[in-house]
Amino acid sequence: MPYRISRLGLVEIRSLDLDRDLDYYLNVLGLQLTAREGKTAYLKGWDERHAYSFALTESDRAGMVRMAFRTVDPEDLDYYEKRLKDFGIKYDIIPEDYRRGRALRFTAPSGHTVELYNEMDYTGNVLPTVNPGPWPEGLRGIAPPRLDHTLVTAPEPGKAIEFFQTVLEFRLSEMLVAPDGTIIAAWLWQRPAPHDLAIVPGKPGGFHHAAFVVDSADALFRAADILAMHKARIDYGPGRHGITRGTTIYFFDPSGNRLETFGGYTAYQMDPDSRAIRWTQDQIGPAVFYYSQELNETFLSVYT
Amino acid sequence: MYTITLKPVGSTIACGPEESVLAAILRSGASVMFGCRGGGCGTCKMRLTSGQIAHGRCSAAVLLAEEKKCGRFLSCQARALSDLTIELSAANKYHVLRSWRRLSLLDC
Repeated sequence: MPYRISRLGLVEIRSLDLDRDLDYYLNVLGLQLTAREGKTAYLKGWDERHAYSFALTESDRAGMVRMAFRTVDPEDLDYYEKRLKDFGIKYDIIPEDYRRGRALRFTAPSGHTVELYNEMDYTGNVLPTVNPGPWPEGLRGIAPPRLDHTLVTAPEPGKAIEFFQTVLEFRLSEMLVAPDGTIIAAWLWQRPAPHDLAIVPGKPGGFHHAAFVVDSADALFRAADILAMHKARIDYGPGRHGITRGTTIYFFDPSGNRLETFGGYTAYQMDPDSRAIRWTQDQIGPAVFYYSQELNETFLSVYT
Repeated sequence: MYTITLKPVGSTIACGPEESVLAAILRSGASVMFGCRGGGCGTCKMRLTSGQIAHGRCSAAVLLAEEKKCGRFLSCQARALSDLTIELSAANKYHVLRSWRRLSLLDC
């Protein structure tokens, strides 16, 4: 089965104070600003080629507005439109959005607004396209190269996981199973990486975190230093997950949305015939926090 | 400096005008349940029984207008404007850290 989604293309979250939070996203997290249009700022990592991958919109609350996945080819959008029809999923066609073409918008059983799109302005990364160096100088903050994945909550995670598997053809890389075999949480992928999306139990539409790539031990500890120097609230880490093997720092933006640095250098790559790894519920400690081997108080209870 | 009385434990702590109630409690050598520390998740919610606070910037999804009227506030955002009395619940998981007691030679 070919994969038709190239990446998690966009996460949009809410900010209680856009001026304050934008300063944090530009100077502490170190994203690149594409544009600020009214109450929304459009951002991206320095190595991302399309116009933006992250949007912050001012609101009276925190949490997720939407997630959007980019298809590999334009025809894949038609393919998914047919699948949404075949499965009787109600969707809206969004003719255009900021620097983006047609999108299909629907609500997943988890309560999240999900979009699929293909066209977005190709603006290039910050490096030259001819004879580039390996990385740009003069970046500020943690400066992750790109958005990696998001983790969201669902009151009936099994239903949400099945929706993404069946209708959108995501595959499971790893899953957490109850003693009776029920899937409690799952890590889902289409591009060859451990996950583009993960779903855990919680309220409908809940936003657990969005993760940005920080791909070496040096960069991981440098990221932790920067967060602490700016007195950012670190929830956990630096550490490592049993699930995905990725390194992690969980931290919060000034409005209380959880973010993560996720380590590519320890996370494996998926092959098309990879089969899902199972974690048993009694091992959720090392599955989530490999070094402390215990779940902390906040992992499943604190999110926006 | 204002004085915060924490009921039912009966501890009293000092709180400066520029620090959050949560910061004052943590600085006193206690542990208490909190989450994002940004006013977004609602984990650090407490109940005020007397005194005046400034609520700060809190998500309307986790601190409802009717809750504010009943004295609820997010301790990570709220600042004291007078001496305060706070009624802690089990969900606040307040306890004085054993290491802090040792440091203060209170409980050797």
